[in-house]
Amino acid sequence: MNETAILEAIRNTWLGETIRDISWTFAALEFLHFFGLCLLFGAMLVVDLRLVGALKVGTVKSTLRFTHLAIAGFVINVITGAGFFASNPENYWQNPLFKIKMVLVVLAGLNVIWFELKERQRVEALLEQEPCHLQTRVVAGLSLLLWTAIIVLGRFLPTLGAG
Amino acid sequence: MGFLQWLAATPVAAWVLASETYGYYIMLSVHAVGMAIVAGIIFMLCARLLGFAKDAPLGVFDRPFTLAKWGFLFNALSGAALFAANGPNLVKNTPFLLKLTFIAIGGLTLLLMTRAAQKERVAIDGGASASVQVRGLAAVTAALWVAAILSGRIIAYTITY
Repeated sequence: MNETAILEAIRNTWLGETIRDISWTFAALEFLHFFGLCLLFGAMLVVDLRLVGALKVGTVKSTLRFTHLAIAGFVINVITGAGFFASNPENYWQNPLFKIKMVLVVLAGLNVIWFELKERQRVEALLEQEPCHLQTRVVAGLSLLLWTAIIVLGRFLPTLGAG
Repeated sequence: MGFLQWLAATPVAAWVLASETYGYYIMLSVHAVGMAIVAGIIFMLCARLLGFAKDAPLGVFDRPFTLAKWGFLFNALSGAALFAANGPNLVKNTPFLLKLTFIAIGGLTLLLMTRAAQKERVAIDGGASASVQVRGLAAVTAALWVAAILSGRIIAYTITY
């Protein structure tokens, strides 16, 4: 199956057809995508500011609970994002900014996996006001940079086609 | 010449509208990141007061809240630039007027919520539930900011340039 056929198959899915056929669905998904990004980014701010050390109140463990809301936002945005893509796959696929955005989403995901595997256990052991290791602070700072870049790229997608 | 026409003639408006400067997309990006900071932190604070992450003291929001104030300033500025470019159409756009209304009321309920929560801070930090008044204000505040985001999205579908 070549690239054209795959994009065509995605276009012809029930999801793609529904979003193209019912006029308000795209706008509704956009609203949910914006709401999802607020959940994701707001939660990451609380978590990452504590990890970076800009915030010294409370234990890291207590702020890490907000990652649940970040995951909720991420799930909303993967689903709504898949909807945008299915509605017009060729247009997104030809857009280099879209590809860069997806690469950054994958990097942000790898960053989360790194945190879960290497950092979580040792930061949960930290006491109130205790600063994190340099490596943890780099991971947290990278997270904020990546998500900011992802939001900006999303807003720039229409300059090169889809969005 | 009216105020809106004067605004539309400013260099800022020209910069937003000129395609080669990408001013429109730069302002939209600032506005989107600002939204994520402001609405995101408000949602987190409302969630905490509604009973989420009860072991996190309210102090964890001190720094984020300062950041949210900066985010609000950036969004007022980026919003003003976007408004300058299309004032005459925006003042007649119902979703735009609704959005400003939701932000004004949502800002007011946020203020009332933080003041009321401050009085219960020791108890809330200790893991107790916030009072019905604080939880009510948290639910209303979150709903108003969701409404602001929704009406902001609808502007894009109802405005003409």
